[in-house]
Amino acid sequence: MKINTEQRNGALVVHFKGEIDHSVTLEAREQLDELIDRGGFDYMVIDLRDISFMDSAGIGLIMGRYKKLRLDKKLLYLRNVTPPVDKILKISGLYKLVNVI
Amino acid sequence: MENRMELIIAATSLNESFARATVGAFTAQLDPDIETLSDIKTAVSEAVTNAIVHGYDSDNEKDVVLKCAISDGTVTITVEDGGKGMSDPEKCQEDGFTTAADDERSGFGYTIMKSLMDEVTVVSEVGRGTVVTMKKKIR
Repeated sequence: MKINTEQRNGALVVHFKGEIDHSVTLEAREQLDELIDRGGFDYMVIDLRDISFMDSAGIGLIMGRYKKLRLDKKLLYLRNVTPPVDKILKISGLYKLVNVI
Repeated sequence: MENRMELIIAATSLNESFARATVGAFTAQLDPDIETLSDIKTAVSEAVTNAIVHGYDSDNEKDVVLKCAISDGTVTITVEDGGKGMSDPEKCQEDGFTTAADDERSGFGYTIMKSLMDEVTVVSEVGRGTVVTMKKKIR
């Protein structure tokens, strides 16, 4: 999985590309946490347009970043959720915590 | 049509994508739609990840055995590990349950497997390992 970021109007937009499973989450978590710690944004948006596969490891990754951002009183949003990822997000109840924009 | 295959993989997370892609390719002979194929691959990924992470603590010297059988338009997938096992498999299948909280495992692996497959059974014994069997009717 690759992660690209851009900052726009107070948002840190994180673009995921590839497959999210347990083999990639540790590295992704470190990259994202470094960005969160660096700050300089008001809220984070994770763009899932180019995610070809995601299992519960992705749920853990998103949930963990939601919790970390919440400590800084910042919100996390998702964008461009594909149908297979939407199914996993619904099953896990993640939409109760994170909104799609 | 009847068919079967067996795959033995080292317990490393690098093999998660290989395992789900292989099961996906094997199941393709039943001509499932994209959504069904995605469901099966996701369920396999969850079961294989559990075997690697919880069964074997990611010890890549250990083997995970994956068996697939096709019969009467139904695919049956078995994921076996000879790892730690669980004292209370029912408890482990509850939403949000995880023994690896520090690792940010979401605890929704079994919930996802049960939601995506028609049938999921778990047999586990402490010190002997875990066998997860999943079925899905394709046509």
